[in-house]
Amino acid sequence: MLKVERLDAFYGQSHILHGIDLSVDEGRRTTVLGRNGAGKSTLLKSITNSGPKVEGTVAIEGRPLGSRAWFRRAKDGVAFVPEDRRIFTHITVEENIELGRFGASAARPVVPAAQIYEWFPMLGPLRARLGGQLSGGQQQMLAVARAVAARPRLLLLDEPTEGLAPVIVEDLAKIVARICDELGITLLLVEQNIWFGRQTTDRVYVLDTGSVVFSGSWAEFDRDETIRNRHLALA
Amino acid sequence: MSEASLAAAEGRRSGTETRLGLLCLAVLVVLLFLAPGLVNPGILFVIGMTLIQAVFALSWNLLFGFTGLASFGHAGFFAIGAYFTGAALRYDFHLPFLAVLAVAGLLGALVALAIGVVALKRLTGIFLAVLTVALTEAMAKIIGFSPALGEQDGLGNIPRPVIDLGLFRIDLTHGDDYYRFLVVATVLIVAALWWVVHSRLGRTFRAIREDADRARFVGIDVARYRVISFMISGGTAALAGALSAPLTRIVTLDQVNWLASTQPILNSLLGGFTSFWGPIVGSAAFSTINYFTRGFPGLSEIMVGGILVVVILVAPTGILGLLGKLRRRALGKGGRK
Repeated sequence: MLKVERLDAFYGQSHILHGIDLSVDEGRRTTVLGRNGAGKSTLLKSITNSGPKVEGTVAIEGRPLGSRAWFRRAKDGVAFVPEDRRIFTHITVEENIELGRFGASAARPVVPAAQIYEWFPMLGPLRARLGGQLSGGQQQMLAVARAVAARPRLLLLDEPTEGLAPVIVEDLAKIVARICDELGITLLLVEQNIWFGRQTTDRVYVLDTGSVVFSGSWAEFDRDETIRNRHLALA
Repeated sequence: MSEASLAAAEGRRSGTETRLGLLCLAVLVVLLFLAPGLVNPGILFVIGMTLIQAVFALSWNLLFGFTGLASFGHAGFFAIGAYFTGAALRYDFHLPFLAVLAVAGLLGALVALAIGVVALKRLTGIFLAVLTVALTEAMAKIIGFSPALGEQDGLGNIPRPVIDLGLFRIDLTHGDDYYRFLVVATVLIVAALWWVVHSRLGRTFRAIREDADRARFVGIDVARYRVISFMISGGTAALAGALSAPLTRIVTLDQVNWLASTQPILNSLLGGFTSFWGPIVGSAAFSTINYFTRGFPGLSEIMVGGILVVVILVAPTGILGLLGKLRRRALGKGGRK
């Protein structure tokens, strides 16, 4: 589904990512772990062509994206939820979700609002409220809801648990896993929260100083203590 | 109180406010329609010009307040409509007046399309603002050297139209009749713009205004929607100009200069650019101030600067923003009692 080959990314003179190779098969779910500054968010921004200067190849279903504009990528079925949530604060919850139609197509019709509120029950009573009046957790739910409303084929989530209360993180993990199952979405998740990654994905990459230092299943990750101690600095 | 009951209470309050607002609007429209029998011709002319300025300001604010683009040369679009209509009536283009208005609006939209296709893909912010100023200045120069458009003297002696609808004719040659036509046209244009702003299209504009990058992430072709907004805005500004020509019966270069372009900006900022109704309130407020200071020649430029300073310092969200803040404060106090 998604294939990243020899990807280098730069912010000005700073060389952030070094020859990243990464692939996510159709319908599979993958977490990218890494410490702060490891290059995780830069990786997603490179895939979405929304920031760094990029060299290398990003291909979806074998088709290199090149400099394809982001709104066209969204129409191709790629949905991105950036780390700062990026909901629209001056329109209502309902209107935010309704904007998901822009990423939909004839082959991937927009998900009915009733289904969205069934997946995200906390948003139902808030549908007339402005996005800016929501709590952090509600905003994150809304950001994910808007992304999946377009019935994407590939969902990119950038640290969705950042700043959320543990109980919200638990809810979000269940919801993300359920939606990916029901819609058959391929997921690439960037996280520091290992628990969340484990609940929602079946494969893991570890990034350190802009390079991939591990890739494998969660079972392989659990067996490799060096990776955890040296590259993730876990206690 | 639960989230659901809070939301229901918000909905009930908002429903009551909507009904009250509609009632106020209906009363205002009836008063405007009856105005020829209530006020002298001088004041009637001022009200007519206020209606035109309100449509002009709404057109500018669709761009600024709802799409996040600034045009500092919007008078160019107004002039396209005013000069086209003036010429059509003066030289008798053999077009029904309603068709003249439609063509004027279309011309404004087409010029906006041309600018948009060339510039909006690359230019936003200050660059677009400066480009629109440059184009309007160029237009003023061209008009200034066009004998058919009256050069520096303007296009005068514009006759008021008669609308021939086949079965009957509506004679607008009398000032009061044209004024009533203007009221109807303004109500229809305002209703159409309200619909645009509150439709899916308007929500897309607002999403782009809030964050263009965010809009791209959800799949919105930002450049395309900016051009659409620019076209609606340019077309509406031209329509405002078209409606003004038979009222004033003269179109001059004063309507294409820098000060004319600042008028919709000032009206929108004064009334409140974050509200749909702000530009209308601002136009009414500015006309009122202008009317009561008409005895002091040369004061208008000082007023433009002075009002801008006051608005920016005291009420950056304009009259409606200030009223909203006071209302929230009053409600907050009421809730604590």
